[in-house]
Amino acid sequence: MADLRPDPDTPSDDGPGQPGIPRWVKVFVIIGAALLVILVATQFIGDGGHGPGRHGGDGDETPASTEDGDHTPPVDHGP
Amino acid sequence: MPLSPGPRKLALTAHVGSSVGWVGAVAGFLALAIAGLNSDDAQLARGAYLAMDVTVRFAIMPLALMAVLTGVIQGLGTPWGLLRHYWVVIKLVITIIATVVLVAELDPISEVAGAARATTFGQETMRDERTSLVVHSGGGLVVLLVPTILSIYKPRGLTRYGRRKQRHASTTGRGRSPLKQPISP
Repeated sequence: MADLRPDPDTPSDDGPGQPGIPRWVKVFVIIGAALLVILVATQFIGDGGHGPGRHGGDGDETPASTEDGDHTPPVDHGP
Repeated sequence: MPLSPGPRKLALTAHVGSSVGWVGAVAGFLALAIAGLNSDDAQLARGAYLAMDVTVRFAIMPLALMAVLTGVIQGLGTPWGLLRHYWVVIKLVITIIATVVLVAELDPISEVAGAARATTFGQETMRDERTSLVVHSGGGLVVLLVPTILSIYKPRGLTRYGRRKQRHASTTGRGRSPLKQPISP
């Protein structure tokens, strides 16, 4: 006698007349798109994070002009 | 390229094991990230970030790559296919995106772990980056649950490609569902 249990590893028939995108896929895509927009917005609007407006929080960065002292070029006193 | 039952079960076992293992490893990573961010104990915090670096490189990353690879093998080697059913396509997209984000996070994690090696590491050291690790791992955990749920529920819905393949299979008489087999007396 044939085993009538459905095989969980094999797809069951999705039906012949089911064109178009299922509603759950549309909801998924909308939610995913919304999350992506929020994520991108927080990257650029957020307080630091990954954006280019991030300032060194540890104070490790030194400004371009250092306190090493004099940067004037050496004066050539001539022969 | 259909797989025979033996290799098919093996591929399925590898895929389920690596996928669920990935979720578990990220949950552990999240616990370490929260502990590192909130703990008053500097040694515990430093240890957490060092452990996170090891975890992501030697557990999370290999599991993620294995999950993607075995998922593709499963798709190509079974009647489900890789692009025929929406739940498979969405799973594949989510898994690939999660892996790309994971690779992008490797350097920030290493940076924090590198800073944690210094005895001067304190509660305010790299606070933004440490908070980001909690956010990313928490978000990643939620995202990774979605493919898990899809795998169990397998919601219906054939893609256009899947409907075309199904029409072709029914006209050639191949690929019939076991439920449509005639019952022998």
